[in-house]
Amino acid sequence: MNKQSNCAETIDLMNIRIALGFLVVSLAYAMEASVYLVPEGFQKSADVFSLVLGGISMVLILWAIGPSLLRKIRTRSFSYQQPESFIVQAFNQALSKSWVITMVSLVVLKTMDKLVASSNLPIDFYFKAMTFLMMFSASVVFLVLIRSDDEVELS
Amino acid sequence: MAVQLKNRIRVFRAEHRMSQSDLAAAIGVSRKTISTIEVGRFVPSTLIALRVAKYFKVPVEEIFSLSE
Repeated sequence: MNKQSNCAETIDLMNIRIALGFLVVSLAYAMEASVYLVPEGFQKSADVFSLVLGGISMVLILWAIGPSLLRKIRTRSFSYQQPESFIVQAFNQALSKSWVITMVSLVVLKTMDKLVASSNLPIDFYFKAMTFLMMFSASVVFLVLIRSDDEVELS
Repeated sequence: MAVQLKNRIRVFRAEHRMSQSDLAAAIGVSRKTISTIEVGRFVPSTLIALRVAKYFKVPVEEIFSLSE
């Protein structure tokens, strides 16, 4: 059976690409949030950089879901079929750990509400910083979970 | 001590002269899934365990067992 016809490989590949997309999108959010922290001279560069990262993330999203979507159109199978897989499990674990990290950060932020209120940063900054944290932690945790130390193959 | 799932997939693959990719394609999972089951990083579902056993035409206990 050739590799192309294995649906599980396509789903794994899609999840890995989605995680890479998360990483790029999170960096775009970090750049947008940093606009409020850097001197005015750097703001234009940060804006341009985040725009470029936004474009890259759009390409990554299409690259991630494209093969799976084409496969569904080709095979005319539009039902939800996700094979069990180590990668899918790792992706779900990464999402749940990222949720915990984001919640803990929000609670910490809440305990420092007076400090937050005294800073002159707009709410947009916190929104973007939290979105960055959520997506960045999900992608990094996923990449750590799937690191390869089990590539033993019999010939 | 925690109970762990041992498996003999590698032994069966060797007997059948199969690569991880061959077995993965045969039972409808990815190669990474097979490799992580073999090293004990991924605990397979009953469905995958039964599919592997069915493929090798042996009872599931011959491939998977518990170690304490």
